[in-house]
Amino acid sequence: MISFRDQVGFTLIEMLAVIVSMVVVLAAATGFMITAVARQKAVLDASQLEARHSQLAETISNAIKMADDFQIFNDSSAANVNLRQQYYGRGVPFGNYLACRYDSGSMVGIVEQGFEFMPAGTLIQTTKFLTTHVPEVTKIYGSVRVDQETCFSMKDGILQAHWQVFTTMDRVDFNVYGMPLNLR
Amino acid sequence: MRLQRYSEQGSIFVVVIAAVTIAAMIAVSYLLLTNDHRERAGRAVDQARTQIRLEEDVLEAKRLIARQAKSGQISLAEVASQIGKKSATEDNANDVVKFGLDGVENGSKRLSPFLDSLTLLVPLGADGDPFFRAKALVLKVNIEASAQTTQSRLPGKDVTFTPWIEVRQIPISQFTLFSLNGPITVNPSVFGGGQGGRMYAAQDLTVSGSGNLSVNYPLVSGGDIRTGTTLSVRTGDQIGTQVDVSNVTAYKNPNDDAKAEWLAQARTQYDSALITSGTLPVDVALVPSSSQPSDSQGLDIAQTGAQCQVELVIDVNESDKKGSYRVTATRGASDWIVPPAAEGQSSTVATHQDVPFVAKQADIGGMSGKIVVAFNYAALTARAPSEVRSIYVHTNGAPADAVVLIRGAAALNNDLSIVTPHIVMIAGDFNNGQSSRAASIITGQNVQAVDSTTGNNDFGTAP
Repeated sequence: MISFRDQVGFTLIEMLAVIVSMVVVLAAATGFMITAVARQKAVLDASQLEARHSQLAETISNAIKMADDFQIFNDSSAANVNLRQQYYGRGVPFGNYLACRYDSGSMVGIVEQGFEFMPAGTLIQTTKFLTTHVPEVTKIYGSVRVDQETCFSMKDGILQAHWQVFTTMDRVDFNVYGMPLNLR
Repeated sequence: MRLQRYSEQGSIFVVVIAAVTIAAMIAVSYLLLTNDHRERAGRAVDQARTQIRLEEDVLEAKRLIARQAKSGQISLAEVASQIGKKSATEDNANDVVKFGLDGVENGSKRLSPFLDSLTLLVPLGADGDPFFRAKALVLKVNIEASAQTTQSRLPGKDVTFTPWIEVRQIPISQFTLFSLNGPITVNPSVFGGGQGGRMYAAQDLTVSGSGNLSVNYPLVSGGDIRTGTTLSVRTGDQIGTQVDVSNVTAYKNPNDDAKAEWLAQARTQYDSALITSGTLPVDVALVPSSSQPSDSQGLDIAQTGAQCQVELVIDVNESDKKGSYRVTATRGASDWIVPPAAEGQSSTVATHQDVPFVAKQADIGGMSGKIVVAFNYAALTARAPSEVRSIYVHTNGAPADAVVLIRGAAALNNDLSIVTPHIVMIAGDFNNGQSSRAASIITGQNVQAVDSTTGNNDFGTAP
């Protein structure tokens, strides 16, 4: 019985063959897994970037719709020259900075939302609370490119924003059109 | 050994069942997550749709309120009823739209075509307002529109929308020029010191001619605005709100790319200095008097004149030997009116107009064969210094056959309204004193500025 059991064991060659085979299979599986995970991460990053910009588009749309006053400027430094409590004054028909203000009631006061396209490829959203001491909030959105000369315009009398986002997967165009309710 | 192997096979079967169960649970969880995501996306779409629907309700309410205001009676109960009917027909039964007029739910208000002197007017203060700094009676309509999303198995989201609409009653005297019937052409030279005031034209508004003009308020028109001269407009009280709008055409309805360029510039580069209905829908109408049908937006001269302190009638069928027509007062104190027979005709008329109103046939301002009613304001103030502030003057002939020539009114001592169905000519300056008064000239015909010496040959000098 003992010698019979000894005869059913693996030989060294068999063991080596099995180990090599397992290494090959595991390596292939691991490579596949790593590729899949990396791919999945790229898809996830692209989806997150797209979702963030979708949220930004919605924020711009809402800011336009609620605006008591709005204006387009070449950039935020040009806007600061005209910055006043209630009224923006003159702007430009095509520019890279959009400012919208609305009165959010006695608790929050006047809120100003600014959106600026930076040539480095980012869109910066700033929210200022002009009549209260709530600190300013800034959000930065990357991977932005603008095909036209400027991001914001009043073409055909309609306030609009156009930009493109290049993710690892795709190019996504964002187009926002809107008019404040008090101009309709 | 074989028994042991069967036992091992049984264990594998259990493991397989467990694995399949776990996989099924993962799959079901994934499906539930996906379905939940789909429901959330559906609810977001429903929320956007609900919001758009409420905005449509508010815009419809705005149209209804504007129509009511033009008819002279605002009734928010009726507006609420019509919006409610619309929602019911479109199966939006859960939409709730409430209205309040100056704090009164579903309130109503009759608008008066004439404001009395005790009415408290407030200045429209906001820069960027088309009629900023105009004193007005403002009615505030608060709207609270709310609805809940229903097209999802998830709990509904509340969508609430609380805008307000202002109905403004601005006295005509707040405008330097106001025209509901025809286009306005403004020559900068008619404004003393090159300073112009608030202007509105329901049709085209043109500023052209020699000289520079600086206007303190945005130009508002229901038609096109053309500025063929050097013109600057203030869009607000603050520094830096002076906008150069020289040689610009503001289109009401741009129908090609070149004209559409104006739309991009109107709100930005020109800062709403020129406002047409293409850039901002402004509903302007006269509040009708009671005798008018509700859909009529025209100017009722007779009703407006009936509000004046004094009504003067020139009988064009009867003239004296020097061609002067009789002026009589049919309403109000009139002891300051001197009949032509008593003074006007016996004195040397050609040297000075001592009588406030003299009417005769004359050729003035490029018009011939018209009956000219010369009104010397300085003569009026000499005789009735503070009594007369509103005058309705008309002939018993056709409106187009007579001209009212206003003279000696460069500086007014008191507020003054002149209502007439006839053509109006203003000789020299009008209401350009150190402190300008609330003054209005209301006519259904043209208003024209003429030289200050106009009428001297026929009526004598003025003031």
